[in-house]
Amino acid sequence: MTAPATAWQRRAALPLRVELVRQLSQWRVLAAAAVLLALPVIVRVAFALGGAQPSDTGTDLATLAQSSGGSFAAFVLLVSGGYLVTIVTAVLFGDLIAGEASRSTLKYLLAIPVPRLRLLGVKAIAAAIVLLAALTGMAVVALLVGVLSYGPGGMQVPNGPRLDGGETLLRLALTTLVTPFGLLWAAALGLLLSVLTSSPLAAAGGVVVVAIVSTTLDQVEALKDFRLWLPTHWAFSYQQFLLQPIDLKPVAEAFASGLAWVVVLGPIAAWWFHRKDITG
Amino acid sequence: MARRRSRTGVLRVVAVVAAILVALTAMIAAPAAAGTAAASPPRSRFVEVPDVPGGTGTIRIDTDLYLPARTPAPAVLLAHGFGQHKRSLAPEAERLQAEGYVVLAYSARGFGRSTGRIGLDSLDGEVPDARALVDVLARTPQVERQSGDPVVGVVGGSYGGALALMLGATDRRIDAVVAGITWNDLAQALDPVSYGWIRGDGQPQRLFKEAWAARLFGSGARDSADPCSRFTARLCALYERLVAGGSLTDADLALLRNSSPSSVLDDMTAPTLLLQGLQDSLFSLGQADANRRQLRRAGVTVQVDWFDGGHDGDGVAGTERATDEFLATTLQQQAYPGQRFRYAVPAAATSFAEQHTLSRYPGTRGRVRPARVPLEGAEQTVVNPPGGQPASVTSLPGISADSDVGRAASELLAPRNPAGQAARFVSAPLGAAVVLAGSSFVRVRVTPVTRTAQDVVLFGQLTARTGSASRALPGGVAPIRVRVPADGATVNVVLPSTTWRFAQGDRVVLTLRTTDGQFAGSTTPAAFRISAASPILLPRITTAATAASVSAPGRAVTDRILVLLAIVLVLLLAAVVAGLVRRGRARRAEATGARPGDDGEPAPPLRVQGVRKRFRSGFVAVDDVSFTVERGQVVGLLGENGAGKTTTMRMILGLTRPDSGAIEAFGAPVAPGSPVLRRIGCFVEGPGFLPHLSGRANLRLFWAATGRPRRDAHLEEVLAIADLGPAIRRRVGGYSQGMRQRLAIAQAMLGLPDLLVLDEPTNGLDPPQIVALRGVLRRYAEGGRSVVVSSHLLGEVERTCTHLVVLSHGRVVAAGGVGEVVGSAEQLMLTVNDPTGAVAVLRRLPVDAVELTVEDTVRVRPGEVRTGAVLAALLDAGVEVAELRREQRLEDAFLDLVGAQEPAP
Repeated sequence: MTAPATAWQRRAALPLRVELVRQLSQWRVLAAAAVLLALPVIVRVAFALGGAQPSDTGTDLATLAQSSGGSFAAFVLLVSGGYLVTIVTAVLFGDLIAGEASRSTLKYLLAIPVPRLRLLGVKAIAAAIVLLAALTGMAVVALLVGVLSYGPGGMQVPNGPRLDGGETLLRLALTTLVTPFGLLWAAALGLLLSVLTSSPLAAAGGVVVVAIVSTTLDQVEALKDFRLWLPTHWAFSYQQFLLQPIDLKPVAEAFASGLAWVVVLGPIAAWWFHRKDITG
Repeated sequence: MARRRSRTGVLRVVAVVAAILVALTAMIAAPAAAGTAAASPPRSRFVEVPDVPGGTGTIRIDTDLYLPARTPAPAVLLAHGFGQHKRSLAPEAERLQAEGYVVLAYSARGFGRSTGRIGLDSLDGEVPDARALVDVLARTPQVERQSGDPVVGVVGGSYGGALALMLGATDRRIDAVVAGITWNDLAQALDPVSYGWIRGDGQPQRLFKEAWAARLFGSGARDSADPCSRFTARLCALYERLVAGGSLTDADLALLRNSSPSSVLDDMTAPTLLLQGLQDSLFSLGQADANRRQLRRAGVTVQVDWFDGGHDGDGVAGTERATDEFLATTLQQQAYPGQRFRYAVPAAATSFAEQHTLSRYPGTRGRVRPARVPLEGAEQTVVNPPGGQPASVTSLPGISADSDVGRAASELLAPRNPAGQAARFVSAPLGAAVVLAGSSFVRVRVTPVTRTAQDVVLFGQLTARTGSASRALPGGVAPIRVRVPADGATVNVVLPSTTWRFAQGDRVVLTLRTTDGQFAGSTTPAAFRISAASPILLPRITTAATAASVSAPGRAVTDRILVLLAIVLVLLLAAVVAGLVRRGRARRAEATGARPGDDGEPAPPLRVQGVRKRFRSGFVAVDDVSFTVERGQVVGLLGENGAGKTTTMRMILGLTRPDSGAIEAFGAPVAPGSPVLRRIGCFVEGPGFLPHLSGRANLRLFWAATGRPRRDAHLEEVLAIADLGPAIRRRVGGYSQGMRQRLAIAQAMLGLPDLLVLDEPTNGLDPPQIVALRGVLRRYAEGGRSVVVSSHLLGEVERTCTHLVVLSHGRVVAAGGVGEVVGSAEQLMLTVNDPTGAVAVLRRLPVDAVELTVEDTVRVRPGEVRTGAVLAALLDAGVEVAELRREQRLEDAFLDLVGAQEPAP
């Protein structure tokens, strides 16, 4: 009855695997991931319906995309990189705490007990895994669809060389790997908003609003160097690996900028959640 | 309540989003103001310079000075193209101004409002002028200085490009040179040496590029009655002699050398960017190649760009980024720019435009073994018409063969080119794609038909044939002039440098014509037989591994990343350490509490002491609440809605922190995340499940989340309590309120915790289920476990619980065993024959209250007096008791308790 400390008591509550299963049981999470996985197919269908023929001099991206499997995959990564992945990130991270609160499951998790910081950490890691898996899946599906539709050729860099197969795979992998750099801020802000509200859609919406305003301000040239502070300023650095020549500078800047937002917003989220009274 | 909370949550989101937006907008104000101030208009001014070096006469150079927002800044001297003036440079000047440079744009002598005569970038005219303008920049206070010298770059295209090179080579103060589509040797550009030669031949011959020369002199002579008035007299004479069919004398060559970078480039010290266009029949890639060779000999860093443009394209358009990057490195960062070679391959019928970057310039002969493509075609006879007319048209000066207009023109003109004047040699379809980059080479056998030694003039051109479509390669034609002996000779031909992607299946076509509209050809009629004497060699450059960055991230960024990563690491470590410390402390406390105390009794499952909770709204939900739950007890928390029951339970579970007071479970203090919470199962404020999973999957997953072994869950026992039947396999989203309620209670019992905390568990259950739940809870506590149940239904609590805590307005108003609390509410209803007498008798007893109700019934609240004593007293007094009813009026008692605590309004 007095339950002496045994091995299981030292094992941490809420294993990562369990949290992954929990997240993947949510249709919102599945839908967000499915959008990314379905994108290559949607683009392929759009090309089929649009009936765009590879023209002899066309250098527009859509025409380029249909020149080979590798180019198609690169095109899909290129177009997904703007708002789409940001919205998916916002949904995944905005759902973390707010989603549990809206389902009334948060209090039961905390009463297990799962220490609050651990809950936040495990959830953030699980969401990151889901996001990375979806991004990787999108690249793989894009390559498959591209190779089946346009043959196994390597990618043609816009205004650049045609790459061979190995180089193409390396470029696509690097692009997929680097895309999350530009999403760190959205993940951190989504987590913070998720802690602040019990409405997952409000949290995701907040991130999207900031993304839109930030992108808009980024187009105002008069802001000069101050644009470097905008969270979305380096959002397109992942495109470096789809271009020739590659420039690692913006990639590094994107990583630094994303980390800075994580370092600022992450602790605020953790502090707020740690001292928060859980109601509802 | 729930709605209000979620609304404040949304408000919070709005607040954070607004805060971020305000922060972003706050950054705008200052730079926006600065931004408008930055685009200041140029200051115009004439600079007096000597007409000739050392002379006394002066001319006036018209200049515009653009100042950037922030000074001091590096300066850029901008030189214009032929026929332009300083205002033509305004867009580029404003771009560079915005990039943060002091820009000095000027009209060269003889152009715009500048006086003097055009000397074609003469070392005795335009170049000293430019040095005088560097003097002006050196005196301008806004120009940045390095050890006394101004930081100055010079940028120019075409006419300005040669000026830039020659100024850079003759003025040590220049720190960077950007020269676009320009010449190395003006004589070679306007009157090129033959691209073909016969081994052992002597002096190479030249061919006059008449069409371009005429255009240049024409645009220089604009707005003047005298066709040559703006040029120096010597240049005028030279031009007139060439047009009349003469050849260049040594004096002419010396004059043109005086206007050529080739004469001074060996002295260059500034890093140089050479931008040369593919679409350029005036200044070929070969000119940049020659410049580059000299610059490397001088030991300076050279970057070479072959871009898809030039005099037949859009000039230097498209090279802005390359220029800006080069200037940023050399002038702003004052760093060493690496060697770099970049070349474009224009779009072809079956391929897209490409761009390749290499760290090394491979030259125009390629870097790897050239592709050897055999040419087919029998010996052909060509004739040169008398007077060289009509001439073939292979391109139109100033119009790119790659543009729509150029292609349309060449498609219209090509079939009309005189047939007898061209020999054509076509390759077999290529077995594999070839990317040509550089100068192709071929040998042809030329034999005069008349069998007498003859001057042969030919123009060689390469064409790509895809299916039935032919596309001339950019770069123009190779003019050839050789003296062929009577029995013929093998002529070596180097074709102009260019780039092209031949797709698999394309054919390479070599065309040799006797006339070309761009050149002054031979006027003597002639006929010769031509045959291909070798395969054509197409130079190639394999691109090295391309996944290399053009620039490494600077120290500033990498340092920033390292610092940020360190911060992340420190934060993570701090969180982990804090967590470990807290858990260790909590575990020690739990271990202490689990040990029997002084009285030999282990600590009670729950002890709440003086707990108070005030919400931010100011509402005191719980005030000084204390009670204890012992083993085996089923404790009811009773109170009206809002009495503080749920808030108390949330504090017991560590979901909410009390403002003051202490809560201990099994001797260990309870705080958010305390390990002791493991021993408490709970159901608070409604069920919460993952709606897309079945009831069973929900419970399994919930147990998995505890991280404890599956066998400890007692899942089947608990599911039996929930009694959901086959519904347990359906998704929870479809459950009724009662089903969810039962599943939630089952979830609370998972692992059979030592303390069960249930908030209003009977809500939504039907009467049989309520009865069943009562039994379950009693039995649960019998084994020494404890249960805390809250309810606002008194009858419910009375039947389920062993002990009661009555809450009202956040305070405990009664506590104890059900008997104790309920006992005070016990009353006897006596039907007697003498009600008045009975009342009188009973008033003498120490009962709590006596009153006459209806006719013959007396109500007694006996308090401490036993029922037997009441009856005995009545019987002693001779009062007959017809009927005795014992009633427990808990509702009344409860209302009494609550009423007593009603706060003053």
